[in-house]
Parts: sequence; structure tokens; C-alpha cells
Amino acid sequence: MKLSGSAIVLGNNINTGVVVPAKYMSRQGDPKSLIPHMFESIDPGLYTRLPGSILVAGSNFGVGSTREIVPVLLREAGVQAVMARSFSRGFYRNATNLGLPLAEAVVEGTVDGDLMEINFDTGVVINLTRNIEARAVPFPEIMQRILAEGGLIPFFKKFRSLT
Amino acid sequence: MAQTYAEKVLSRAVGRPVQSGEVCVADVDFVMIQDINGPRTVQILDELGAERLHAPEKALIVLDHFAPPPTLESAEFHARLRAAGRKFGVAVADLGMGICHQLVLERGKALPGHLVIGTDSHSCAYGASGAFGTSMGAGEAAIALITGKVWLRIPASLKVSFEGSIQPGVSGKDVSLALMRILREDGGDYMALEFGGPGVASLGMSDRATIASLAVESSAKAGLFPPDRITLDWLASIGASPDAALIFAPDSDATYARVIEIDLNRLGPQVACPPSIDNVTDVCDAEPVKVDQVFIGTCTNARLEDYRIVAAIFKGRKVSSEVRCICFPASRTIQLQMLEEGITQTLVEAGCMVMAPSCGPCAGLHSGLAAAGEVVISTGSRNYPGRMGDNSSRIYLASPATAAASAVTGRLTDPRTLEVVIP
Ligand code: SF4
Repeated sequence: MKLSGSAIVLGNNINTGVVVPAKYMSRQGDPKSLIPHMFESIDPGLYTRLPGSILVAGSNFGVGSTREIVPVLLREAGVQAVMARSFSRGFYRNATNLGLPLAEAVVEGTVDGDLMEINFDTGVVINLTRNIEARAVPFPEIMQRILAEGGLIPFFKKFRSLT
Repeated sequence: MAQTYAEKVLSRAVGRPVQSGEVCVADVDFVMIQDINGPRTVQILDELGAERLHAPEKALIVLDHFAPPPTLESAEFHARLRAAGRKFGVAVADLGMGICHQLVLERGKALPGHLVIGTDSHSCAYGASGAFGTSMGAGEAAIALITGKVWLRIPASLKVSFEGSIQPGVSGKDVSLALMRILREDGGDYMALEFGGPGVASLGMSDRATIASLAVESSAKAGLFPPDRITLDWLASIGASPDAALIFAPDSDATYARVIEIDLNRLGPQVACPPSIDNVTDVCDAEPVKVDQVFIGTCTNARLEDYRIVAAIFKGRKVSSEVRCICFPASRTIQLQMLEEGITQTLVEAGCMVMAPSCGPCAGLHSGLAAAGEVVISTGSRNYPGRMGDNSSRIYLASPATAAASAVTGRLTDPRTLEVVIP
């Protein structure tokens, strides 16, 4: 699988509460209504750039709460994939379980709007605008299997077990 | 093979000796479901056609974040969770019973050597009693409820060794913030923090619960206090009977990814300034910012020991007329003890609003949100922009003593500067 999109560059330690603030959680039954609040505390207009994007973050993306609504919303908002120097474990699990593609990789020099491509079969990440290539850290085997089935729930429906 | 405490606990859960780095399927001893992520867990149980759970008696549903429901939608979440509790035979801690992590701890559901998961990030609080507590998403919790199992990577451990003993006016929250100052928000990622050293004997269960719960703020998977005399006495006091075969200690030659030493003798009150919990300084060095609201509560810091400190400070004093001070006990048991000890009377006389047990405004859900530009001193766990209200409000995280002292003076205040003997 190959995905490409326009980079949205984010810093380190992006908290799940920054992606979508907990204070709107009573509206989680209607995820679309939450999209305008995504990233509002760092950049109120950022959500308009989410469709077709690849988030390019620093270390520890997704620190904070383990709400699954966060990867759900990133997908709903049209984010193709999230690339980061590292992920916080709760987000890493949830995103995999929900079928949101992640790449643990760094492409130095990437700025907002650069065209990024991630090849999930080879683990190669390319900044097409600047022609810089990097390699993503491979997923543990169980995560690869979960991703291959499209997420944890389809995986469990098929195998009825975690092994 | 020398093992850390985390490796020992997880070896028992996996059913064979394991080492950090392995990916394993483990048996879960208890599952906690709260009311933000719980509705999704229930939805997934339905989607998977679950009719019965692996061990409904080893689960608890807690209605605490939206307690009582501030919106119609959240009232519907609660109705769904209550119905799920009835359908599956899972106990429901309904409105006013308390905050999820405090309930799991005080009901003796997180025992030494056990693996406990929760759909809330601060589930690492269960490490206070020596359980491997960790958070998982709604889907993983649903599968754990059906199968009794989760998959996990055995974490490497980072050892935090305490020297000396904790000083008057200083408490577990200051220890946690000092640790965040060193570890920062990513220093514990994928790791278990293991607390030890001679100074641990000066930390009571309440302080340990605070410190264990904040492990996740460094991105750690768990924060563990291997059981000692203090743990066992506390478990006896709540009528819990841990399994003697599961009282583990880390091997003396276990390998740690990193060792951090903290000298408690030299530790003073700490404050995490906005916009992040790792932006920590000594309260005595911080700018004495003017305060609009003081929030004393949360699973981090709303236990009886915390309120005894707060009451000692408020005794014969008043909350500044420029400050509103809102207090939430962490459970009904604590609420009753506060009434019995006259703490509630002292707080109300001082001018505090004393509310029923609930998460309150910790995650900006209800009962005390902050307006634009306001300054809040909170005993809670997170202070990123907008956490408790408007995106321009600013949250300072501090101990109950610092929060109460600041409520009295109207400015961020080192509690040691007030003439009061702090228990
Ligand atoms: S008190 Fe705050 S940190 Fe604790 S469970 Fe509730 S919202 Fe989460």
C-alpha cells in the first residue's frame, strides 16, 4: 500500500487533547461535529487543511488520553497517515487498531505543504517535493497482522482470538 | 534470568517467564471501563455479538467524568452503560460513587502482582498497590472483556530511586512534578517506571497513588510500587486479601533502561506552568501569578490525606475574595470521611464550593470551566491549552497544599510560607 498527501508539520508531544479537546466529548456520538475543533488550541484554521494530508510530527505524537475517537477523527477528517519521530504507546495501539496508517520515520527539512509519500510495503518514506528519502521503523508482527485485516475488530471477527 | 518488577508481574500474567521486548498475550485480572470511552466499548461488544463476558465479576463500569451528566448526550451514554452493566452482569459505580481509579484502588480491585487494564489513560494509578495498571482503547477493552486477554509488549523498566524522606509541606504531587521535570513528556515512552529506594518508606499510599497515576504523563505504560509493609497494611485496612504468591520484588541484579535518583530531603513544592506538565519549576522560584480559580480534585489528588492538608491550611482562614475554590472528593468513602473529620465544614466555612465525587472540570467537561485568559491552579494531571476551558486560560498544576495556600493569598504561593503545620 502506497499513500501520499500534503504535509502538515507539527511539533513534539502533540497531546490527544490537542488533536481534539476532551471538553467536546459529549458530542463524540457525532464525530463530524468535532472536526472544526481539531487542533484548535494550536491553530484554529488547521482543520481545513486536514483532507488529503499526511501529518508530520516530532517525537511522542499522541501523548495523553487513550480515546479511540482521536484516530477515528483523524481518519474522518481525511488525514491519510501520520508520520512521526515517535508515537506515544496508547495512540500507536489505537491507530493500528482503528486502521489509521502510521509511519515512525523522520524526513529532515520537511515543511508544510511538501508532498509526502509512504510505501507501507517497503517502509520507505519520501518527501517528493525535496526528493529526500527515509526508512520507517517496522511494526511488531502482531500489529502488521492487525493492520492487514483493517484493524482490531475485523481481525477479531475473523480469528476470534488475539493469536 | 534476573527480572524487573514489571517482568515478574507480566510473567505471571503471560504464564511463562518473559523479558522486556517480547510481544505476548496476557491474562487480565480486572477491567475498568469509564464513561467517556465506555460507550464505544459497549458499541463494539454489540458489534461483535457478545452475549456473555469472560468474567463479568472482574470488571467495573464507572460513571464519573460526566457525573452528573451536564448534557443530554452524556445522559444517554450513562443510560447505555447502565443497560450494558445489567445485560452483562458487570457492576456499575453510578453517579457520586467516585472517580474510576480511586474506586478500583479502594475497592481492592487492583492487587499486587495483578494485570489491570482501564479505558482511561491514568489507569497506571493501580501501580500504587503493585498491580501492573495500564490503559487501553475501547476496542481492546471490549476484546479483553470477551476473552480475558490482551496483547502487550513487555516494557523495559526505568528505576526511580528515592533517597531521604518527604518533608513537611511537600507531597506526592511535588515528587511527580519533579520527576516530570527530569523525564519530560516522552521520557517514559514504552517503559514501566519502577519506584524504590530507601525514601519510598516515607511515601504513604495516597502519595503513591498520585505518583503512579502521573506515570502516564511521561508516556510510561505503567508506574509501579513493588508491595511493601505500607502496601500490605493498607490492603488489610480496606479488607482486601492479596495472594501471598504474587508479592514480588524486583531482582537485585535486574537491568534498567535508566536509573533516576530523587533526594526527597531536598525536594520543595513544585509547579507545572502552562502549557505542559513538564514545564516545572520550584514554587518559590515561580512568578506569583494572580489566580482566578483553584480546583482541588481529580484522581491525582483528592484523597483524604490531600483534604487533611487542605483543611489544615483553610482552618481559620478564608479563600481570597478574588478566587473561587472548587473541591471534589475522589470518592464517596472519602466524602464521608471528610464529613466525619469536620473537613467539609472547614472548607465550606473558608468559602470553598464542596462538590460531590466526580472528575469535575479536570477535562473541561463541567462544573467549573475557565473563561478566556483566566488562571487556574489545579491539583489535576494535565494543563495543555484548553484542557479546562477556554484555549487562552492557563492551568498551573500543583499539590493540594500549594493550591490551598494560593486560594488563601490569591496568588501562586509556596505553602511553607504560611504559618501552618501541614500534616
Ligand atoms: S479526574 Fe481527570 S485525570 Fe482523573 S480520570 Fe477524571 S478526567 Fe481523567
